[in-house]
Amino acid sequence: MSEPVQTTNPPDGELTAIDAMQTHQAAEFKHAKPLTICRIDPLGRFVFAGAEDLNVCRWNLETGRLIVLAGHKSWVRSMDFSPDGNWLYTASWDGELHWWLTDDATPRSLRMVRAHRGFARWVRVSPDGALLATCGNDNMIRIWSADVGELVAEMSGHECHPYAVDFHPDGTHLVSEDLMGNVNIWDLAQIKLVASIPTVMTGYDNKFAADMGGARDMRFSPDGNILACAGITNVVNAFAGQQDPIITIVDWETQQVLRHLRPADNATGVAWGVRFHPESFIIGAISKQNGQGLICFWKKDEAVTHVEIEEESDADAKKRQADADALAVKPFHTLKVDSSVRGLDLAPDGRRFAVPLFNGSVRVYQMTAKPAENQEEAGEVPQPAES
Amino acid sequence: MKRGLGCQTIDHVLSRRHFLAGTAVAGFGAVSLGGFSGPVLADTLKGDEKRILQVYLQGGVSQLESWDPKPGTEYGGPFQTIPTSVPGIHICELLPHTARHMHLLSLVRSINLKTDDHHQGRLFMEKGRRGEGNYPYVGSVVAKYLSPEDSALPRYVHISTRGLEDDTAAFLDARYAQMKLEGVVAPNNLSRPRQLSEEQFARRSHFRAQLNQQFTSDRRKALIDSYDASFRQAAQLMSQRDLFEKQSEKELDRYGRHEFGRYCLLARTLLEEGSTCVKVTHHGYDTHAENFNFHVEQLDEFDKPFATLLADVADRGMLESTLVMVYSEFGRTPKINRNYGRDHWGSAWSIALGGCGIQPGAVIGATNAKGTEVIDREVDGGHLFHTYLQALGIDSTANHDIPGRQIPIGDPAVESIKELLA
Amino acid sequence: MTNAVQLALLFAFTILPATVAGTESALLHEQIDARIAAAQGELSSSASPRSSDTEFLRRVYLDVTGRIPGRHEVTAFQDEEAGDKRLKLVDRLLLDPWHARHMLYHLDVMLMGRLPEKHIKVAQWRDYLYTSLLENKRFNQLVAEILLADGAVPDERPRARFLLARELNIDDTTRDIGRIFLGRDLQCAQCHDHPSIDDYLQRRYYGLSAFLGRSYLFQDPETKETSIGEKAEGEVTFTSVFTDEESTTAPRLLELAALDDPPAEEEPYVTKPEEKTRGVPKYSRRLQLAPNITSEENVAFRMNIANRLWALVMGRGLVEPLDMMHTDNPPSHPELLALLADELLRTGYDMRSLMRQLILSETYQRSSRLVANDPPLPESAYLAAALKPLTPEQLAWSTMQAVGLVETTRSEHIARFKEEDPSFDPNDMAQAIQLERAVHDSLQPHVDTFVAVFASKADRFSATASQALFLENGELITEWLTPSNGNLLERLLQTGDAEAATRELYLTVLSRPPTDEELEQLVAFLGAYDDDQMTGMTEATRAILCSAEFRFNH
Repeated sequence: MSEPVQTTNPPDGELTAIDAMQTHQAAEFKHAKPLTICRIDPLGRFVFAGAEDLNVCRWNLETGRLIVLAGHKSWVRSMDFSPDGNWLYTASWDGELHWWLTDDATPRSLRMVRAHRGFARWVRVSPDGALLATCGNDNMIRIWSADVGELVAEMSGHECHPYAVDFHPDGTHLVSEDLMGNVNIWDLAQIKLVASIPTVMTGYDNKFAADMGGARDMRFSPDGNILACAGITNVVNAFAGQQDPIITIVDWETQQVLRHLRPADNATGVAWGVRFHPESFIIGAISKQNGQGLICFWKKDEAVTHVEIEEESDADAKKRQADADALAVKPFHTLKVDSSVRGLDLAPDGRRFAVPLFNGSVRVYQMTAKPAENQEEAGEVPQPAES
Repeated sequence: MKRGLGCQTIDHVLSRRHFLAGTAVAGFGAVSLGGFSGPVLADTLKGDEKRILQVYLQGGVSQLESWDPKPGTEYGGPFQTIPTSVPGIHICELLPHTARHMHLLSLVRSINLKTDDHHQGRLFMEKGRRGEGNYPYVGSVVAKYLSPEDSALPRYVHISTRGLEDDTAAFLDARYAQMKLEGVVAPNNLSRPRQLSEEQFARRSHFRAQLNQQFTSDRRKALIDSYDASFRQAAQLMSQRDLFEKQSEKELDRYGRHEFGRYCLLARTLLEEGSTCVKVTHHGYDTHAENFNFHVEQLDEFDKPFATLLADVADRGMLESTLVMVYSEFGRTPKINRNYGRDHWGSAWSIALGGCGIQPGAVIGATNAKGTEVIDREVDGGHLFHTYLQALGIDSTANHDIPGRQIPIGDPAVESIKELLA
Repeated sequence: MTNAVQLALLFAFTILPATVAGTESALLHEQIDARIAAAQGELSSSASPRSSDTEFLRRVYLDVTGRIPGRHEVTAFQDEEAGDKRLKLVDRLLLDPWHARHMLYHLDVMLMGRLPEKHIKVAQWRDYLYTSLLENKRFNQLVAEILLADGAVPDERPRARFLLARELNIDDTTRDIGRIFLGRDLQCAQCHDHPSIDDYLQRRYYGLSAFLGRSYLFQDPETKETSIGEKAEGEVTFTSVFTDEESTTAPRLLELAALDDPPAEEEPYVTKPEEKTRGVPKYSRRLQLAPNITSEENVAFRMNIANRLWALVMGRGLVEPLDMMHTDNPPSHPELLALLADELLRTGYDMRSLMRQLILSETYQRSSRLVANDPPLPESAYLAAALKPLTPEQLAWSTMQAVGLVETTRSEHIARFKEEDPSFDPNDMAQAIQLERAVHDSLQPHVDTFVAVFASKADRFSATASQALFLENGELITEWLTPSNGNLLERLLQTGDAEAATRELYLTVLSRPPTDEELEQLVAFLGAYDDDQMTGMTEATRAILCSAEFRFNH
């Protein structure tokens, strides 16, 4: 099912400095079907990937060994880990939530909960690991106890499919975003909706009479000051995939949309993943409509800089292409990828990240200069694309 | 190159026999090919009060996400199947309400139109013939042969807000052409000019009728009668304005208040009140990107109203005399593209039909395990066209009732799907 | 050059030759009548009398200019005493630019069947037809130009609409060429010999398609314009479903000899077909189509157009349907049709000349009132004039004429032209054309509206409830019936007298005076609106506009 790993870098002996501009491919793992998501476990041992089949793949990052997690009855596009890395939780599009042991030699689902009617779109662990939050096509948010899978709370309020959720790092609130681009804020003590922030991450295609939108990824910054939501905007032709990728930055305190992270040009596509790097930059994963991919790097301080714009009467004014968007932040570096990039996850040591690709590969990139000796030893090293 | 228009009907077979026997065509004597005209439909069918309901899923609904799912296979996608009210028939989980009424429908899973083009696919499915040739749509054919002489309602109504051009009547009388309603609204010009009272309008109508009577007294009547009839129909339509606009709250709760629900409710009303062909278009299904999310959305919108409509038609005892069809212009590719989409796929896809003259609970034809090709009972728009008409009791192998012309109603090269006919 | 001299010259060059050149053609309309009468036999005693002056006036206006006459033209014609007033009327109207406009509409529908715009702008195509008809371009020349067009010559691009709007689809284009230029629908012959029509042989269908088989659509990479390119090789092969034989054929027209390619040259191309260049072969099969279709040898060509022109004025073809000419569907009057075809050949396909002869015949001039109707008289005997439903364009222009919109638009444009040039004279030929174009351009959107409501592809007349609703309730007509600007309603209200208004109404809308009974009838109708004259007049007018007498040419 998968081809042998191609690792070109042994673990760093001497740690080279983080330099996003020098990001280069460090490893690649191949699967036969396009991938939908990938996550690296908190201990940095494995990279897991969901695919357009019923399997979740697990590769050992060091040895490249592949184990397949079987037992899902539909696709998986979201997974998360207990903070200690022991447990893996997967949410699949048949509405089920599964528990797995992360390093199980022969993985099997140890618990299943029917989390939603229709897709279970997202699963996220609370910062203390005690709770799991899921959202799904029954428009519900549900909170489960991580240890026994008991339903702790459920929140209704979304009028269309919520796509993703995240816990605030202080554990007091949960956020969710739906198809219409509404970001809901839930107070977890009272299990109550306390705010709903509209964003431009949605569009209605008049010709085809269909809505498109929602968060493909959601992440708080580690300090909890801002929330990043990856998705789409400016829907021109929903059925052809002609819309713009966007990562919306929301200020937690003011509950206002601060900025829009956009690619360098007006490329159409979808933003599938976003992560905050401790060294004050933000990484985003974008699939382009033409089948190529982009990994973009934005400066965090630019992402939080307020822009004074006039109240526009035209509601669609903000849904503009990148060049015309007053809130746009352009990346300081972009990596071109030869396949659609459908997600992004940061390794716990912050030196690497992994992306799932349409061509079935997980690619691991290292954000440092390439170690000189490896270039000689490994021979052909794939060059990072120019930015 | 062989064209699929060869003629297999009895008259052509006879001709072939004569031809092959080497008999010269001209001056043969007793049997002259020139005089052979084939059976022509008479007006005897009218009065049977049959009708047709067409639900057109515009853009190409994915057969893998509806009628012919292949869960767990290479191209199966993320959805599972659900059992239906017919043991042995499973359809996609996105159609739970329709599944409960499967016993009223049958599936044809082996359609190969040999085209992936929206326009060509649509024409083929409506006319039973490939290409741009001047042939009437099935709705106009049914309207012509089944609608009563003095139809109180438009014979053929199409409820759609999609701006697609349909030349439905072709060489048939314009009165059999579709009347398009842009949603749940009355046809154009149904209201008297402002400030004109009903009485005044009636006085005008009376005067006009008088003038026509005088004009016609010493002239050929046929054309003038036809003209007169259109004004009578217009007056009838004006008095039925409410039909097109008022929808009961209770019924809207059952059908759903979004557009498609309203269309289905209007469709039922029109069928009940006497329209012969009602077509409802639901869009869009052309999901080259985000096929799964969009099918969740679109089929969710489709499923309950359609199932409600189907059940209502059955409950009112109308299903025996109403042909129901749910169709698209093609299906969607098994292969999933890089935008989570499926592309056009005319070579292996499905439709659902039931009601008048159709064997319910049947599955005709099959695709292979992956859904990449038809492996059994391949049919195209021509076979289906014959089937619809035969189910309604119209002899599709006859020629159209058009003086001076001999145009077969259905493509003589193909036949109806006999095993589907009750 | 004075107006009279202009007119005389035009008369001399376009009409006179037809009348002077030979005694036969001077008597063509008499020959027509003789053959019609001969075929009627005993039935001729049931022939309707000649149409009245007003019947004739309205009919000729509609058949030649595409609209009803103005009310002053009605009274003027009635009052005219000259014995040859009908002849003079016909000749005057044939030279009117409105005649070119009317024929443009007819030819456009005949050639294009209201196909949507593709590659070539419809407005430019129509303008090409209009200009051609103004100069009375001969039909064979027009057809040749259309079939020779490849869209590559900028000035001549509009002509290419016939081929380009059909996207050079082989089946559709072949079928249409057969139908439109040869009067033969070869559709079923595609797969095998038509089972009940002897001479639509499969070979003939493919023989016709062979002219086009090597041609293809080419898009210029820079201008993005589409034109027609052609390869130097490629054969048409076909398999008969009947006999399972595979056959091939060179281009051929019906029963005429096949046109074999000249011996192959080493370099067969003027310009080789490449991705970015349009292929032009030294020998083009497609370019053989025009000269061969229009050749004297190809009798079908002139028989077809003769039949179509006859049908246009008489209301039915000598062969019906118009595209089903074959030995098993003979003309109702074979010698007559041959005569008309010969006339076209003799005059070099002068359509105006033939139409003139047809209109001057007694057959044409017969009233549509029946002498007897039990048993019903066969239409093919031409015992009475046929009722011809107005085309959407005729209906549009006639309605606008009736309500006064044509007049007011015309006056506005004359005033505007006079402002720019005080010597503007609407009677001058060139300026009349300018005026007609201006009026047409102003009112074309309304014509389009009527086309959208009334156009149909059916052979026969059919009326729909939608059309009736448009006439009864439509806002456009309601607007036109609002008194203003010297229009009909304003004039009617100004008469201040029910009788005078009735006369005015009949003359303007139905192009005749009312009978005494009708006068009484309408005055009584208006009487019910004593306190609301405007509504009364509006309602009366609308009822008449909706009447069969208005809807049909009779």
